Amino acid sequence: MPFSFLASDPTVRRNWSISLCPLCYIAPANGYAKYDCAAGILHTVFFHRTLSLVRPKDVDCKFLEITYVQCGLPELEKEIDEKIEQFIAWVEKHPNRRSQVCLSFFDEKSKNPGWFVNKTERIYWEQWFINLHVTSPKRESNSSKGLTNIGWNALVETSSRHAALESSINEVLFQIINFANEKKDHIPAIPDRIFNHEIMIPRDDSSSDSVFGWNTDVIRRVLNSGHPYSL
Amino acid sequence: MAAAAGASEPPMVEQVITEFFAKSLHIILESRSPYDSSRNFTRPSPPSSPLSGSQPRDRWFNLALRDCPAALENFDLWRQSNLEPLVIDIVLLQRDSTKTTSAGAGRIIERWVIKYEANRSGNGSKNTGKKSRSSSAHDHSLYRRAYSGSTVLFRSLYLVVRLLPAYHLFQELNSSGRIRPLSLSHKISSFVEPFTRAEDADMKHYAFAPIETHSGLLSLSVSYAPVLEVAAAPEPTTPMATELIMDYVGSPTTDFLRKFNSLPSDGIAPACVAMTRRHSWSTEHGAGPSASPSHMPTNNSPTTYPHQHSTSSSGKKRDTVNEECYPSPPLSPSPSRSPSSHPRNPFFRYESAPLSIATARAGGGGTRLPPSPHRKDKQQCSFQNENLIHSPSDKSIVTNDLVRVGEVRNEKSLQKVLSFGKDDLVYFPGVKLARTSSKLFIMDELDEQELVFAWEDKDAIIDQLNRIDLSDRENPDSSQEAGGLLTRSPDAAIGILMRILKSAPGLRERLLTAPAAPVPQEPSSLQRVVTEEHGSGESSSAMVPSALLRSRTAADALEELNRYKEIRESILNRGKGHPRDTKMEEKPADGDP
Repeated sequence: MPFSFLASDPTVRRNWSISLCPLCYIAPANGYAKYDCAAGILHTVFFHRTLSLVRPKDVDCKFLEITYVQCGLPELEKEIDEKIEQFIAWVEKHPNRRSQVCLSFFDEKSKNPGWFVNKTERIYWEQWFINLHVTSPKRESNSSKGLTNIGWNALVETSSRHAALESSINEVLFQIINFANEKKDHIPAIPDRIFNHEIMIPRDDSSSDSVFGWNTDVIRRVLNSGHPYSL
Repeated sequence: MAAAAGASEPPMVEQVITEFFAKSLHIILESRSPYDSSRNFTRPSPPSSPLSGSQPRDRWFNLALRDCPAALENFDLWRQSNLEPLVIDIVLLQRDSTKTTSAGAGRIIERWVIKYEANRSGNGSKNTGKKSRSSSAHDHSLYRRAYSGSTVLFRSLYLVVRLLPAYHLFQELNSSGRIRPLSLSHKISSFVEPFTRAEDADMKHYAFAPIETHSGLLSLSVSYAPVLEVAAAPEPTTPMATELIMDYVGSPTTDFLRKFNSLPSDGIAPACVAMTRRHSWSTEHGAGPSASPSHMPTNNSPTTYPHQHSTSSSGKKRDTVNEECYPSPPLSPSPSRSPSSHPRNPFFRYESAPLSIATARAGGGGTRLPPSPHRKDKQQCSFQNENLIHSPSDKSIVTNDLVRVGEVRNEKSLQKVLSFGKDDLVYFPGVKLARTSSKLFIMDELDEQELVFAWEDKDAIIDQLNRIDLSDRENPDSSQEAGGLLTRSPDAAIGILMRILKSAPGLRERLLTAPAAPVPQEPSSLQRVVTEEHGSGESSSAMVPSALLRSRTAADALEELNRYKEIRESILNRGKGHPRDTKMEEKPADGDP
């Protein structure tokens, strides 16, 4: 996993960029699968990084046999749902495209406070890059086989893809658990509310590379924050 | 060691250590001990016991959980052990026939181990440079690190217990209140009982990142079975009907059923075997359908026969036949054998609705016989589909559903009846076949009229069926008169026949009013008379078989039969020298130009 830190001084807050391995195939027509994958991952990250008082809420995936946990905070859940819907809409517009969702936690700090200017800068102390690749299934040609054969083969293929997706999501969730527990010294003091965060999803009006164009914004922001890090 | 470690820790950290054990136990048991789940907890729980300290126990580490009695009880017991390892075994128990379970038996599917390992040197040695700072600040820093680290760890623990395989089993057991053969139990101890080599080989291990404290290390790990071999299977809510309704279909040892075994569809009975709908026929009593003469239909009024009650429902059933006929790929079409060793095709509907002979509207001829039952299942279904052409209210509906066969006592007779063609079997749309003792009853359900014929040979049945077809085509409305014939009991039929004969015009009148037509001298005088009868549109060479092929009602057929009898008698009497008959016969001849 490509993450590292530069500063050796333990007092310097380290910015972690954690990249999760790409997920396997998700049936594009299966809205539930896309929602389950995205929601399960995002809520799991937030659950590990929302250190204020939470009342956990178990959520059973509709498509996958996985139970993930939400923080039980209505505002956060609403925000995540909106982002997921936007992400799914983008995926449906751009099938077979690699996509990435970035979840960032930051602190806001006043920069060069003045009489008339009050700029704030964001200091990102943790970023999660979630890579997703939604592909279309290869449709079987309508051969002379009977309808039952095509249906049976499709069912078997769907079942195997379902199992593979479930296994992949399970693995990703365990990765999140590992990362969240291994590196926690950089986490700020426990606040009485949710940490400042932002969820970035691919946009249609990005630069040349519509999938990764927003990364330039992220890099620019990181460079301006004064805490360089490398992937 | 534990006591020494406890003494070297600051009081705040020691409290974190104590609550670490309690919280771990709480999270694990509330998702493994049925009925103690805080699933979807949305409200804050009441303050816990005073042992928890200043904060309510359930809010420790900013993770609000509902009280778990099992966890509280067990932790109070463990607390006396003074920070010894806490080993939680999740045991899968199988209930025996007496529905008793014992904690000793069963299989350990998860083992959680929570322990505090003190460093002899203590972690304080790393902080020697910080000893100059105020101890309270230092302690506070250590407390914050331990507390925030534990907070993140318990977030992970809460999620991990839901990702492990045992959680699905717990959900299954907790969701329904039914008594199941499996149950989950837990065993708490302070020592780790080692697994056997085989058990250890099957187990997977996962360890959380340890939490460093001032003088030690808090660790939490789990050994779990990745695959649960015994899964809690849901109990069937409705028992499956695997037995035939004996009084409906008849004895399973009948040759009719054996006949189905010879069909090419893997010995699966065709869709014509009625099994589900209770039928009013009671062939055991040796009588026909339960209708009495008083229930005879006269003016096409609906019968009161009990088996007619689902005429409309049979229509609905027909609509669903199409769907159920096509086998679905994932299901193995292996027929389940009933105790009567009669194979059933799960993809066929076994209905009680009878078949009916294809009438003229259906485009079938009088000699139309159902397709061969040697067709494959789909073809049989498609045959059924072809003939579902009308709504249930249409009398000319052809129902292709099933043939109901009553109890057969005479095996040979039934074989004759059923083997109309060599391979054409039992598919008689619109006709119910029922056999009582040595008689075969043919019923036409569509017109709600029934014919009762006592035939014992195949040819006679074919002839009768042909007559029915002909009469239906020609005079469908004249069936009113034939209502007397369309009864079940022979006595009723005779009664109706007598009525017809009484009301029928006299033979002389018919002969006198019949148009004179040249009748060639045919070898048979009977033929001449027949030609007179049908002289209007028939050619002189009309033969008897062609006349019979025309659509006629049963009443007409009987009338004609009676006429033939009278003519026969007249011929015989003529031979004996009766002048009257001679006159009747010669008159047409005198009329020749």
